[in-house]
Amino acid sequence: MKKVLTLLLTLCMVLSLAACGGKDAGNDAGSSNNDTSAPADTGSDDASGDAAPSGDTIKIGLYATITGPNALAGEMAEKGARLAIKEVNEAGGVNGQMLELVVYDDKSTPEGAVRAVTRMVDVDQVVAMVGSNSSPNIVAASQITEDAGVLQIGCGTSPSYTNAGYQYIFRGTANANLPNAAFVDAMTQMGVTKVAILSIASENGVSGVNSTKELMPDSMEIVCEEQYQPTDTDFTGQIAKVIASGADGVILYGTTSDSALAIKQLRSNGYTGYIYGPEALGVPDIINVGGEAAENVIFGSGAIIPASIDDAANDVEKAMLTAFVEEYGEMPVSDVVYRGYDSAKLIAIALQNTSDISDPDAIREAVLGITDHEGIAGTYNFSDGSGDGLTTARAYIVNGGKNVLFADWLAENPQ
Amino acid sequence: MLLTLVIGALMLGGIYGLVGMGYGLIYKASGLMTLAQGDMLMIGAFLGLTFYKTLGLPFLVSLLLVMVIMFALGMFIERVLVTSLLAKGAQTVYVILCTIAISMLLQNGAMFAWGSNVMQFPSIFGVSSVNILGYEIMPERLLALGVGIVAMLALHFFMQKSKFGTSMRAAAQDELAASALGINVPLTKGAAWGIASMLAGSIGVVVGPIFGVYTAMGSLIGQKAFASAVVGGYGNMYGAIVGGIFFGFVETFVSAYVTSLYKDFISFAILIIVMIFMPTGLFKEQVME
Repeated sequence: MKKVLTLLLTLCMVLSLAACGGKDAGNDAGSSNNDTSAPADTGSDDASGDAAPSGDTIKIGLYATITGPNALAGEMAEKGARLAIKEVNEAGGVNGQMLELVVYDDKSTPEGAVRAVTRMVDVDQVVAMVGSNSSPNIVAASQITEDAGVLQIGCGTSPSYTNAGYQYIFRGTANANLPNAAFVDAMTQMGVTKVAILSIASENGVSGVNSTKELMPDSMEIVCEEQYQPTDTDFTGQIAKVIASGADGVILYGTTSDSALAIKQLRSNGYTGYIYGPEALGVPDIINVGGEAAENVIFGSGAIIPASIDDAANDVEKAMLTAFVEEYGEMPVSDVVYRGYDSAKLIAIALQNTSDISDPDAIREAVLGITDHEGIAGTYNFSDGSGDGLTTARAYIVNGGKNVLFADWLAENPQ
Repeated sequence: MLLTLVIGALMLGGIYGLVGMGYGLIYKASGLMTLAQGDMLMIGAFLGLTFYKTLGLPFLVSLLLVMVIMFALGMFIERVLVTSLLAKGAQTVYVILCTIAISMLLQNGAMFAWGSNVMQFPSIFGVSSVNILGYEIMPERLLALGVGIVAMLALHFFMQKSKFGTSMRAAAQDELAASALGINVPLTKGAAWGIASMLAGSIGVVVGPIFGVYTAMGSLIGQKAFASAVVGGYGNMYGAIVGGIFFGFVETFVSAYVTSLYKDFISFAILIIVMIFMPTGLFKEQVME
């Protein structure tokens, strides 16, 4: 009797679960049956349309980490893209047609990205989309856009999703390998010959140091190589070795928080030379936490948020920041805003130049035809078909408590 | 390089030793064990940061305030949580579990109150380094060393010379006889927990400027301090200091001359060897029950 009851209860549970699943699927299916010209489902909690949609607008999608641990960055990607779309529309749209941005939250998870992208492709039927600021999320969703022939310009920096043979995926920012090349280049210009490396013993540190070593010219000799654990707080032993090695340049490859600590301890143990590293050293926290110790830190990065609009690296950035402050009332807090902006602008250019907006291959050809677009992160040139449009990142130096373009600084302070 | 390493090792050793002393004190006074000492250090660091940076109080005042609050917190844990557990006839292992729970509560509570980012503790001194015999030394390291030595001496004289210290030692030796002589045993036990958390908290305030302040800062320090207490002889206050300095030297010199990546491997391997071959520690303390 008891067994029968248990069986019955289990059956009930399974059925109710199945019913739940079915309901969800039904909803989605229902939506995808909607007329294609119907406006985006703005009533749903994770989607919101931009301008008042009409049959004449061209729909552009965006998915980013709007909520979850990376919420700040996702919000910035959205704000940047919205600003770009607004500017395009105010300038007359794409061949007279207005752009409409449809935004989805990927909830900082690859599953969320797959759901969002599926919806944009099937339900909203966007012609192109700005990809997430999280590279694993782009990787998870790339096959969907690839199969549907929808252009995707991603905001993530990981090399993994370009150079991977995809036809319709491009990147609207600098590939993560470029900042390494930028700071190694700065080291060459500074005449560094003896290098000490202090890095974190994690995937990020190991792969970063390996990539950096490959970029180093023969004139640089590694005189000391030390690692620390992510849980370490005291680097006295490692730093004593670094200083004793007589290196004339120290590479620090870690995450932002441990880098700040290491910078402080390097300085307090008497290292007065230049410290080089990747974009982790370009986060405002380094200056906040490191204080004076952060002076003379040189890092490579795609683009950074300057201390003020006047410190912008180029005119495009200056104009964009001015418009951003006008629109939102404050400076952006993360460089992801540039990625959203550059990606949306690139999409608009491709749609403007394409011979047929309904043909994925024509749109792809139009992206490949972008050879000298002045974006915020640099000059985009997609002609090589790798998916990456930028070939260089910039180097910056912390000078007087702010991040300054290394090239400008070097011109004023020749070594 | 050698002097920098020695000062670094002494400072690190002093930190482990002082936090480890708390373990010994608690064990001596109540026969119990806590695993929340590292998190007491973290709470002390956050409180110190709040008083010094946010409220702008002088450093010494911040330090004293932290000491008072941490003493009260330790006392509260013993008088309210541990005592009520013991009153229900709980075994020692439940008390240890309770302190693990407290450690989690403190970490998550700190995350709630102060966030999960690493916070900057501003320099206490205007300069980032002082020059001693041609070596650059961070003044905060010397301060940590100084606070460690002062706390050690103060505790020594308190336990040996003051009346309350003597009654604490008496209660630790024989509870029944001590209470028959009119010593308030529950108070001495509570005070031992209070002093232990006060030590950890004050060390937190002085290491904040060196290590930064974040919620997980105490966990590894707590483990190493525990190891120091064991190597020195669990329950022996002076043993904890010697054990701490021993670990400080092993860690700093191993990372400078042998391997920086596996220094913890070597430190904790030594702990296991000591436990097997010298179960009473360097100071021959009887801890095996």
